[in-house]
Amino acid sequence: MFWGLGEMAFKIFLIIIPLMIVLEILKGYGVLEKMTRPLIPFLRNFNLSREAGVPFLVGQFLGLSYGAGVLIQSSKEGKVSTQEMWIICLFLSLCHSLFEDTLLFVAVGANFFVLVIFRLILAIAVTLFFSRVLLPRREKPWADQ
Amino acid sequence: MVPVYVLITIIRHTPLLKWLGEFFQPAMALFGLPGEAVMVLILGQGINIYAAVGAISGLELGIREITILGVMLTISHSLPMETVVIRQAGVPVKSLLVLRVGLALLSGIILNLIL
Repeated sequence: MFWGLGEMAFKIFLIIIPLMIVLEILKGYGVLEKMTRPLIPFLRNFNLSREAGVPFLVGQFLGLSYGAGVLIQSSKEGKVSTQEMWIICLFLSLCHSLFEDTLLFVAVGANFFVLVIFRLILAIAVTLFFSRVLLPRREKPWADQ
Repeated sequence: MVPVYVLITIIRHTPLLKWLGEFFQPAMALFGLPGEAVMVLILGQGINIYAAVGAISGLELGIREITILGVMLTISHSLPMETVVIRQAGVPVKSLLVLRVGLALLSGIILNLIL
């Protein structure tokens, strides 16, 4: 019983520790901020401006809990509009911490490509639908009733 | 993760997990999963992915089942915590929450059909 536990804990340790080191470096050197430029055409598909790039990348690499500070800050600074923030949160809630979450399941035997590709396609399709089809027509469809 | 693994391994030897599994069997069959896998979904949604992964290794599941659970849980997990983050970011959460859980369930059904 405990052999399986040790094996799982060791595998997860091997995957998560190097990942955490890379993420700390990305964060410490502000690499994510510099990576927003190539992302601009991708963001434009969702009617998002360049300012959306940082919260988007932080969510994708660091995750919602780890990147919460950046997300909350960009919303408070007002550089990103409420509608943009809603679109970012829609994409991020369906697809974030692309590497950490996926690798945790891969460590216990899941298929990496199915996990990554399915989730990316779903998030892109749903976000495109909301940002291009639904949002431009109605004034505030994102507000709760 | 480790406490969850130990807990699941212990209750696997009691009738509790079997009863729970039998009760949820019809619903979980939609996703091509055994009834006991409902524990993985509940722990992942309510706590986090580490808890879900701990539960997966405590149960005996195949690669197909783990992949389906993985897709469902990467789309929707840690709901109490992540909902707070999204609300703090100034975005209404109710609609996002419904979308997220709904799409996770739908993805499980789709993957069960195509995998």
